[in-house]
Amino acid sequence: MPETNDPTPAELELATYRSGDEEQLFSILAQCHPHSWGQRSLEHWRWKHRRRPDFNPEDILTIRSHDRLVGCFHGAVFSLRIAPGVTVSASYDGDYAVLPEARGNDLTSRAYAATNPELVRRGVALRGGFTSKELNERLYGKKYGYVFVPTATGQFRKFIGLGPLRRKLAAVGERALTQPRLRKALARRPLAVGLAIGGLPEAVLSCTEEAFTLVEAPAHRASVSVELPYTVLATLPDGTTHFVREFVRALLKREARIRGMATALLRSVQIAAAVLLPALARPDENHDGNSH
Amino acid sequence: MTQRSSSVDGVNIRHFRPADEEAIIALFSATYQDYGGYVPRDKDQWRWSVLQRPGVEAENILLCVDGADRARAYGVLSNEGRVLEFAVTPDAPTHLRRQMAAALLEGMEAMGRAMGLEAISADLPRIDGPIREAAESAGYRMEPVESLQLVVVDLVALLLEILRDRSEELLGLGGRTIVLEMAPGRCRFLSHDRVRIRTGSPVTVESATGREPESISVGIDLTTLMGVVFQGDDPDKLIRSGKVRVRPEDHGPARTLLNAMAVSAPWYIPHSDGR
Repeated sequence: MPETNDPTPAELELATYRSGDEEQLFSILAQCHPHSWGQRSLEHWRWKHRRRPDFNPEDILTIRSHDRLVGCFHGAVFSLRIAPGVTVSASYDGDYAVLPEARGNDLTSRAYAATNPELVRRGVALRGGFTSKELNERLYGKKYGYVFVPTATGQFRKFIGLGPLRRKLAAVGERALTQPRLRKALARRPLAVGLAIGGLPEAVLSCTEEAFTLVEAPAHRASVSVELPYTVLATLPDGTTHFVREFVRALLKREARIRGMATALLRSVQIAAAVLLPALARPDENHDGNSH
Repeated sequence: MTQRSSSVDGVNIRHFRPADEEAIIALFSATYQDYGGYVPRDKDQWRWSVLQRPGVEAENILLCVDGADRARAYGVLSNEGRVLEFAVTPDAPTHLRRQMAAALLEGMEAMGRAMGLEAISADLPRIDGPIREAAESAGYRMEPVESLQLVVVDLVALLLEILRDRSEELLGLGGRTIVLEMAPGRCRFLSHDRVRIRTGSPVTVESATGREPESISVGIDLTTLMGVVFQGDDPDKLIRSGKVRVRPEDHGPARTLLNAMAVSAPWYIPHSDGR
């Protein structure tokens, strides 16, 4: 076995937060959660944990190896209503992080074993945290007995800027441009479509042989432009068929419009001809070649 | 501060003022206090979770106020595009609630655009018809959300709070003693192996140590009990299937007790709480 400097389970000590741990705690969180804590500042940690009303140093469990912090578990104790008229003391857990060299030492179980008796002493009846169904089934429910509460919380999302659409169209373009015939057609004559989507800035989608690019610009600058309500665009994740149906419905109700329809049709036919007709005329590529 | 115009009859939309704190806290409580997940809040807690949160300015809070400048609805948008809190008074007629929700969402979108945001994400109570309709009409789509999972830390403390509230449901049992003989199930931590519950007035719940003559024994594991408490699992089915064992075999009192433990409120947790 190669020698490593990784701490052994016996070298990992679980201890309550001490003032002076702040910077190391934040650094561990930022390293282990680059998409959330990695985008935040130490000040955010101070606000979330240290400055929380009723903060208790016992809410933070640290994991140390030879006096160096290698992991942490954070909790927050408060009153939680579980039904009308029934309020209990509960701890919301979160912000778990363990540096790679200290992982694999069953630290989650050790952390529960260390903190549960303390929480009981503090009158806490429940502990909980936010997680996905997948992680509950794979870990928390299976190994620690967590159950989901019957949630009525829905996460509702709406795009108000062009960024997500720009990225989506760029990805669509990347896939579409793997077809040489489309690339050739666009090389001969690039396509520009103006987009006026309710609530989003007007934009022009430029389709060239290189890429599909969405730029903020007056939609009428393009010879073909499409105007549609945001609610139609929002149906895209339900699938192309659903989107097309909603788009046609909006066209019939005059909530959506295509300007330069003749040009649009002509370009559609040209692209279809460039991409589809040669494909139809092409011999079957799966042919075994023995029939000739 | 900017005064926003509103299309809602008799209701204006404006930005937050420091004097609105109490009204906002009261409005949140009136709207959500019967949901599971509600965290009773005072000024300190609300200031910490909203006003002092990095990335939130007082200007990020919009209110719908009536002609007397009373808060009827409000929403808080963080600089990251998260709606941290959103409440519409439950006392208004349905159509007005829908209009206020729509006006708030529209106002927050306008703020978001001014802030250069690309998206707005809002944790809303999806069983609140007017709020959901307002969001969906504006083009918001519901996406999967991480949910709250719970595990019991102190079984006696939990059951005491629940059963105190349900003492009327247990009146029919008279002064019975029922002992829960607990097994851990999938839970790693079991605070009490045996829990003695005395129905009557008041209900008592405590750790049981010695033998309990004249008592009813209910053998159950903690995972199964949590299913009864939080997930609506039917005690009668559990008894019939043998997952819950009752001695002596008079199932009535055990069934009544387990039914009384169920908490059936829907849970709503705004982003400002806990995350």
